[in-house]
Amino acid sequence: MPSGATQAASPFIDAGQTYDSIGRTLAGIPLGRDGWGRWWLAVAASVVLMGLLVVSLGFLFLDGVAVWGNNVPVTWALDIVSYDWWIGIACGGLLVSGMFLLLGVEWRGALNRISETMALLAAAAAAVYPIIHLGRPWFFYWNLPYPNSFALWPQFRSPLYWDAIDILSFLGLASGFWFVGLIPDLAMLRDRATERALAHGEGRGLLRAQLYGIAALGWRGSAVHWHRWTRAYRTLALLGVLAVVSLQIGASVMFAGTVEPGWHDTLLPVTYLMGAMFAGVGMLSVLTVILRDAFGLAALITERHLRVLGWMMLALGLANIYCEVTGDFVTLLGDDRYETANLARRATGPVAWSFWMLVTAGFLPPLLLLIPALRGRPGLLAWIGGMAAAGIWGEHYTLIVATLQHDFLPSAAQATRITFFEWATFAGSAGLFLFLLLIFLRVLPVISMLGARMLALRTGADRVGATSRAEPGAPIWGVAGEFESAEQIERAVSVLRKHREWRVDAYGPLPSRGVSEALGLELHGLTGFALAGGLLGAAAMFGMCSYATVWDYVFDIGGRPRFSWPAFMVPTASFGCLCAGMAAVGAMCVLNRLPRLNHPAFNIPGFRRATVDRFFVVAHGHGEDFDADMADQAFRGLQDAALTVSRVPR
Amino acid sequence: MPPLGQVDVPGVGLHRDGRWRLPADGEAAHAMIRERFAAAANLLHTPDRRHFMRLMAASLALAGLAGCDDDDPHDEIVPPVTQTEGESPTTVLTYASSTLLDGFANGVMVTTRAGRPLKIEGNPKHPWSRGGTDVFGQASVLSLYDPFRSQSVQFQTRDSDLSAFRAAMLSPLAQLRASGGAGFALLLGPLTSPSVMAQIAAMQAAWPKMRVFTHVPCTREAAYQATARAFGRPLETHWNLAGARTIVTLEGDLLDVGPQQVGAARSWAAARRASAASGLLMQMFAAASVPGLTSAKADHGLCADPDLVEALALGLLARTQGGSGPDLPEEAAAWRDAAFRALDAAKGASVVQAGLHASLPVQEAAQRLNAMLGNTGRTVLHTEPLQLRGESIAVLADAMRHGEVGTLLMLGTDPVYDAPGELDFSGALSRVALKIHANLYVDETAVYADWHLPMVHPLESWGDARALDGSAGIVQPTIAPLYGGRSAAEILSLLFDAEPRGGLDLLRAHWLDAPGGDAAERWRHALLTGVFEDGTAPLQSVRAVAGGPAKASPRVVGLQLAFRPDPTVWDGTWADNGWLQELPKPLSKLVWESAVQVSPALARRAGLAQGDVVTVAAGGRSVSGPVWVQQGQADGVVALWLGYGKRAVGQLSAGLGFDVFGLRSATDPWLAAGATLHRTGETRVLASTADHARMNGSDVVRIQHVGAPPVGDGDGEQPTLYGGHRPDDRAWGMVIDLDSCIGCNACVTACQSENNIAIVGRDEVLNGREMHWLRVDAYPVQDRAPASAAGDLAPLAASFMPVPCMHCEQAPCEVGCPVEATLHDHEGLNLMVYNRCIGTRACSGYCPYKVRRFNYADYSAGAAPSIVEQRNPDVTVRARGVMEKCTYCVQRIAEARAVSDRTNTPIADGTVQTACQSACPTQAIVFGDLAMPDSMVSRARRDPRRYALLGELNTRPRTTYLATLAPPNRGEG
Repeated sequence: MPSGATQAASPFIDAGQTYDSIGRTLAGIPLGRDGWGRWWLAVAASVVLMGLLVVSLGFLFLDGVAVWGNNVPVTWALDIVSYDWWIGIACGGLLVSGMFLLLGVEWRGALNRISETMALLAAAAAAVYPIIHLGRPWFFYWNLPYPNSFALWPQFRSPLYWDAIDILSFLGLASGFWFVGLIPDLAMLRDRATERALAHGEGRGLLRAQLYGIAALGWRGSAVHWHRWTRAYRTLALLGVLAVVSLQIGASVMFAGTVEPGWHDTLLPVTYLMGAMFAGVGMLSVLTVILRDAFGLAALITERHLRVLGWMMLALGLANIYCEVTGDFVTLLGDDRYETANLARRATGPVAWSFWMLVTAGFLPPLLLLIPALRGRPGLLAWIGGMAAAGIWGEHYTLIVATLQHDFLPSAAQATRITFFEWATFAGSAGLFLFLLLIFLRVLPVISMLGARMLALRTGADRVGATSRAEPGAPIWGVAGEFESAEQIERAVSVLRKHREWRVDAYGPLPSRGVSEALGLELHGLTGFALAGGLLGAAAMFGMCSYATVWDYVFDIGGRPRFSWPAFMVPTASFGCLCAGMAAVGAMCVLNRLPRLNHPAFNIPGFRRATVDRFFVVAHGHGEDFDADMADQAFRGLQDAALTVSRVPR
Repeated sequence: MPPLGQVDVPGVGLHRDGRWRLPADGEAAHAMIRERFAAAANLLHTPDRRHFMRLMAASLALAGLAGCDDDDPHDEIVPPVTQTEGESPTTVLTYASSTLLDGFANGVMVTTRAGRPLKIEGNPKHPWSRGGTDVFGQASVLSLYDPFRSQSVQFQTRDSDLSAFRAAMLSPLAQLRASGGAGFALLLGPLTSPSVMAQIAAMQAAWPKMRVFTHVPCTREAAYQATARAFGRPLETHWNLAGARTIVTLEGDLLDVGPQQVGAARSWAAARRASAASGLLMQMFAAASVPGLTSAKADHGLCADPDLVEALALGLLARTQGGSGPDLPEEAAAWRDAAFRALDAAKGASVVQAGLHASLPVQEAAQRLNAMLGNTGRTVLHTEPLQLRGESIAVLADAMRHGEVGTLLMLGTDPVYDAPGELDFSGALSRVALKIHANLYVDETAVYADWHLPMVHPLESWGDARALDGSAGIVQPTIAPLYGGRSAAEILSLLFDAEPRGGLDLLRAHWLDAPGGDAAERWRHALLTGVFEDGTAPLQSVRAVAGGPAKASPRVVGLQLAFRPDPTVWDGTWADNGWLQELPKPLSKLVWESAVQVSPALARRAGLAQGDVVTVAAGGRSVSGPVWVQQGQADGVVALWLGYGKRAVGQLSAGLGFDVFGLRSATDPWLAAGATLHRTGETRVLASTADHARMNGSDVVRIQHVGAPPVGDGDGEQPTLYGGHRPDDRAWGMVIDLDSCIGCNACVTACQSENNIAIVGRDEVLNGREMHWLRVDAYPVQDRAPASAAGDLAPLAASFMPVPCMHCEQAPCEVGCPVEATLHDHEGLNLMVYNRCIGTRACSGYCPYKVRRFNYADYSAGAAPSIVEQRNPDVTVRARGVMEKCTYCVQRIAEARAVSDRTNTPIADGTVQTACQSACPTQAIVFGDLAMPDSMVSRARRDPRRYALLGELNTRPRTTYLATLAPPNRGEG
């Protein structure tokens, strides 16, 4: 782990950035007073769009799906297209962020928060559709295995059931991943908000700080906490990536598992995953460029970041072209007349516009990025990103509607039209996304402060430490030393730990492997919980599917075998991931004794800077008999002089 | 319950005079009341005053309701008094009756439950229909409940009642009686009822000066005149195709909708099957200017202008007489020569048929050809004309205009709407002092009449009618008149008889007074079989008289307008029936509208596209409508469909399509020459339920050339990964013979009627949301078109393919459903559990046949209460957001299963008939248990022609098809 004091400035961050300046910039967006006018305008726009959603859903619930253009045979149109598109963007966002973390990309901090937030909010927008597209939406829960007096089970072989589980898992994991990554930032916000409130004497500001504090679960940056947090965060990243793969396989098998021409295709899951990543990175580029510009974040989201995004879009764009072309090539290679006719209709039929939308928006613009000079240009990047997302939308529309409107029998062919209410619903889902995004911007840091700090050089810190002592006679919890860098506390911990009678802990704004090692923390515990949770969840899901279809609820479904185990794999994987994620988060909280809003560490003078740029080492006793004077001496005898040493009341 | 009118209960019953009688003996009366009216029995012993008052209050309230109908000469319809053992009020009862089209009967069985007629089934005992039905018969049950039917007597469009009418008639009738009916004119719609004809004859005898006119929009006069020219007297023609080997139709309508359809199609299909089995396929030649079912099913079609058809007819006649006939274009000459050779080779076993709308020379040539070929008396049969033939409506209009008509009674006809435009009937009508009109609807004519009387529907009245073969069928009421009303016989009696008589009375009087035989037995036979014994019009043996058809009419310059009865609303009689409006026209698949039908070549020349609105003018009158370009139509002809453009306010049909009666002439009602066509510049989106794409080389419809290797799938099944567990019980399956299917749509309407299928209206059809569980696809079959004809002038040879749910054994749909709303049962049915369905629509997307239908809106809600009465109580009415599809009429299977379980006997083959199967006039659909090796369906499945639609998908459909037949390939000779 990089540490502030010694690390040279990374090319992924502006040279002048310090821990403090990062904190001021990022916390200033939610806490500050700038740009509220524009924000309100954007909120108004999103509220108008959401109003459209409310109105169109009102008509939908009143009159039924008839308000859309869907018909027979085009039973799925903009509803499922929009769903697949949104969930694709969500998956892309989570996948990218998760992969960055797993691959140990140190500059991910500039992008991961935007990416994860986008994933979560796009999933929320997507989650609207599976319910409202139903003919009888008020029975949506029949799709879930809930206990009911009729002893009915869902049909576990259906990709629609998988999808329900996948969405739940995705929402669970995405929000878990997002939130766990956010905890340290919430703590920083808490401390900044407290400071501001104290400075300005605002009651409301204090309330706000308290809310941040509650949300941060009382995070205090203990090295032990950091240790488990890192583990949980990485575990969630891995589970998120797995869940994304599972979800996209489920969503694509919803088509690939049929006999329909243009759908029945083993490449489809790969195409889907690529398309999702492409659209996700495209949307990420759009949001990144807009937010970078709107909040003046060029120092934190540097041109190098944009170049990385450009590279990714180029790579995914090419992969997307490869998938599409391979699929079409294989279709042409085969002699299935229905498949070939379907391909021809995609390009020339009534919905050819969507196919050419894919080609012109999805295929061609990313090719511009082959020119290195264009890769870092924010405007171009946003445009290409938007095009990529639109192109993937076209791809979903082509895939779904071109097949449905004419599959096998010419007599059953029927074109469809997109009605006002379909567009309104889609626009409304975008409004929901936008609204939630705007709320997020005003409440939470748009860039991971933690991540940005990991890159920053710690400079410009004053050496003035607060000097306060505990009230005479008050019971002493421990003695704390305040330091300027992780290296200093690492050395301090190594020395202090030799006093066996003390318990030593360190606090800081960053996780540090060195400190963990100095404290002798071992890497175990959490992974086991996650693994156990995952296996338990997977076994439960697989067991339920099998029990119901093999013994309890036996029906002839399409002549399939009773024990259709391959059909149970997707929900099993998804649900296993969800349970593992829940176990990991749960274990992190329980083992860290979080949430705990009150802790003696908060009594350390100047402790608020523990979430900004100061590092603290605390030595305290196991029991009542703690020799504070001896500890004091030990601190003062350290090689690196502590800025302050203070006795901390209990 | 025994048929109505035949109540036969010891001790209680209906007198001949229609009154109840109780046993005179008080004790017996008490016993009877205890037995039959258990609810009232306690009144006999416990004079509980309050209870009595309560009962009486209810009775009085009901009596009050009954009192609303003050019409006196009424037949009693009583609920069954005795309950047969094992019967309950919900037991299905069937009555033999007749459905009517243009007055012609089609023998049917009417299924009733809880006193409500719900469904029309075929009557296998009927000599002409032999179990077949047509769309009109099937849909008539909906018309019965139509809330828009006329419900009250009207005087000058204001509600009145029958007693006022009778009072108002007293003095005019007295005058008429005194003057012998001077100035009285009776205008009747199409009618074949022997009893009414006898009644009219009696009227004419009493009132010698009255005049009788008939107005039949789909007139058969040309056929009568042709027989008069050929055989010296007008005759009705029908056919017996058993053993026939060649059929030549000239503007033929043998298989098209009409009074001939059911019987002729049945006979045709049987002959075709028998001939195919013998290896010598009965082949049909068809020359037609407007394509129809007959020309579509022909093996050798020719697309010909009306004058070319005339030339062909005369040419065939000339060749038969040894001459050579007129010079014809190469292709037409080839067709003529081939047809001649086939006729010549099948003397006495062939038929030359000219349709209703063929010109007089064509009709006469056809009759003479049959006579010369020795067909007359063998395959072509004649009776006296069956329809009442009075003076024509043109004469009536003339007489009215000259003030010769003082009182006009218009019975079952709507001349203001459907009289030829040149007559200006409504104008002439204004010269009549007293105009009385009676019909099922308050139609266009009702508005012009002084008095309008509601008529009864055939399903709620007594009557009789002849089928095309001359057999006299009975019309039985199956319910008391819903909206009051009178039958034609009752209205005539009301005016003519001193003491008006009821329909039952009149009917019994006519048939029981006939000489010879046991009258009671004859009546009983009619009630049970639907046909009056000895009532059949005798066959006439005829001899051709000298002469020949008139010379071919001179070639007409310009376009000709060909008028055709609409395939789903006929001449407009059925225009208010929602099922028929939403029934796709067999070839164009249009619904809810009519179109100006032109040939592709004419469309190209005139720059017309589908839906362009054009103005068609002829004889100084014009009409505007959208263009429909139809393959197989002759170039010089514009086809116009009767029955649309109705103007009567508040009816279902108002405003649909356009009215072409104005362009018709009284002299030549089927063809108008010298027409012009102009684009208006407007366009209209036409509601058609099917894309008219071709098969694109796929084998959706397979063709079995006689003598060629079998094209069917054979026995082998493709391998599967799914294990393929066999059903342990019955295995329901269906086989549809594509060769027998004539595309008549009877199955579609039967399915709609049986399964409570909602209609959705034109807009929703345009949205692609029609709900028919069974659709009839029409695919052009190139093999049957002659090699020389190509492009625009190629005739339309089509194969019709009914597509219900395939009930796949490896059903793709079921896998998609997340809630098990669609799944298989142990008998192999692909079930749909409506109340479990949440409407994901995955099943429809996964279905390769796209046979599923989705309730996007609440289509069944909001139906009129009377329409709700029609619904089949065994079939769930589907709510919004629910998927539905063909169930193989699972309710019928369930009923048979229940009986089988109760009686512990297996379900015999043929016990369960699906609605489509039983409606089919050609028996193209076979349904049954595949687990039974010798069941009909198992045998059909072993037919070498059998194949599975999209069998390569390995969905293993239970519904499979028999390839359509075709003559031997040219190479194989």
